[in-house]
Amino acid sequence: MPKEVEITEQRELTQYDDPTVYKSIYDVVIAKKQPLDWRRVSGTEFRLLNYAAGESTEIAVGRVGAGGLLANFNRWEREYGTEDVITDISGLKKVMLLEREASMIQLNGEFQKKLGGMPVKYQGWATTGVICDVGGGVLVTVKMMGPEEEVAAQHENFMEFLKNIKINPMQEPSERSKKGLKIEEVKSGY
Amino acid sequence: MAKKNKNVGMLILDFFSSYLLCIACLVILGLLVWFSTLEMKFIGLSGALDKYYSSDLDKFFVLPTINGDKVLPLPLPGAYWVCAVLFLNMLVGGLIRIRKSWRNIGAVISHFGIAGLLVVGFVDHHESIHSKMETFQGNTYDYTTKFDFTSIEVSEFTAEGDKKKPYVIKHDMIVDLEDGMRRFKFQDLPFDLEVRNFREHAVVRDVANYVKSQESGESVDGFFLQPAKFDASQDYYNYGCYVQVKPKNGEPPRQIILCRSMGFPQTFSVDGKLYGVEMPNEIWPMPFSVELINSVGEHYPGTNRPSKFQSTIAWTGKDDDSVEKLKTIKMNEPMRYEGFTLYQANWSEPINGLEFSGFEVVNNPADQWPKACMWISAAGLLIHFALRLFKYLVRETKKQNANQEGEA
Repeated sequence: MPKEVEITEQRELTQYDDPTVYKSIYDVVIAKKQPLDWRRVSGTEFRLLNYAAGESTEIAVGRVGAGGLLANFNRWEREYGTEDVITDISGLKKVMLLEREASMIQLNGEFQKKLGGMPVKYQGWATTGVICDVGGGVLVTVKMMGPEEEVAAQHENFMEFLKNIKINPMQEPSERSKKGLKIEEVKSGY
Repeated sequence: MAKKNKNVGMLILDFFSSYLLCIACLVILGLLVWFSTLEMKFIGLSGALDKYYSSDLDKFFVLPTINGDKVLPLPLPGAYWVCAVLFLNMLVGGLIRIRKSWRNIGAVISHFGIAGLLVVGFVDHHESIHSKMETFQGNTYDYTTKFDFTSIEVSEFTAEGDKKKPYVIKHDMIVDLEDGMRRFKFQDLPFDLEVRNFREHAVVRDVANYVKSQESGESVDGFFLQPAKFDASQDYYNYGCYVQVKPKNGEPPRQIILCRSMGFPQTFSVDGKLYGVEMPNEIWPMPFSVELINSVGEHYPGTNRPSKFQSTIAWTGKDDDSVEKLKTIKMNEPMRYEGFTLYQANWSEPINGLEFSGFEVVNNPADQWPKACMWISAAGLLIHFALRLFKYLVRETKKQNANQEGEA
């Protein structure tokens, strides 16, 4: 096989290429459009949508099933070395996410991040975070963190990105699936 | 009387038509099936198929392994080659050299059927394509992913975020890149791709929670590729590699990690357009689409292994006036359509509230040939035994008549 190969073969589009077709747990939340400055990267256990921007900025969309809004905002606060500063979310800035009102927080300062499982401190760090309660005890979080200048530069992209996040409508069984149709039962209907 | 001297050609014919060769082939095949079944636990189904049933000449001899690590000093020829010899044996001994008479017509027909079965095996081995379709309830799927064939797909996204037709870098173009590097060019795209550090089985680790080892690849955007040991119980090759995007406009190159398990494109932009690159097993568009309606199953007690399962699907052939049909697929009751066979192959409890079912989709030009071969063999045996019975009855009747004449 030569060191250089020209690729001409193109595959026909299939439902594989439709992000709403459910393929894995990462398809719970979708964002068809993303800022051009961002790079979508591998997901993790807690990051359904995960992006990188600039040198060290991370943008993650997660789904949290425990703790409530207050506890999760304070968890982010603790990453900046403060203890349970937020006692009431009503004072936080409100934005729209997933067609619901969501609370937003802006944090700046010395950030404690893990590297290889060990805590490492970063000066001049910033986090922009949004949390939305989607019901059933489930929260959707959108968090951007990185060096202050980079986070500030990506703020507009972040706000625009919030509008593009959707709950995947295809993670619900269809009506006939919900009815538990069996072949014998439906034969006459088709 | 002294035996007539035979020339080499006759000796070869004698060898290939001998009963002894037939018996030896059947015994070796029995051993190969036994050893491969035992070894499957350690090297997985695809590993066992590759080791024991490969047509590669470098796998002509196999050394069975016991308990996963103890090599048995018993070199056996691979099943593919044993079947090839057995086919010659059937052809030469059972069809060419067999005494041609009306008494043997049944045996000849039976041998023809068995030789046909071996041909089916060869066609299946070389021409059939196996793939899988993983379906979640309520969603429609019109593609499968080929077994053990990875690929790299490169696509452009529209301003609305829709994917355009992807360029496909095939399995054979990247599997040799464990140490080397290859550059891929695309006429319509403003960049080239350099692929390197291909791994047959790897996992993506995040630098926040995992410590890199000597074998780990470099970190890219907070992740690195870690070579991993193949898990036979999963029978899943998690292919991975590193890719460098080289924009033609002179912008600095971008590093990207690819891995099969990521499940979506890694994105980047060049010249104001968004592109994605991903590493699924080769996507195979199907001439039909499947919607999973329901899937039910049971596990073996105390295990996660499904014991029996079945799925009800609604399916539509693309050239079939889009008329939706319903079908229940069970473990030994597949669905067939336009040369494709859907077998129920996998099942699990609902994932994230959605019932799940996995189908193996096979395209095998010889799919229905075994049935014909079995009918031919059965007909041959029926004729053979009917003739024997007839001959016996004639002989017995003659004997009885002779006895009666003697008594008279």
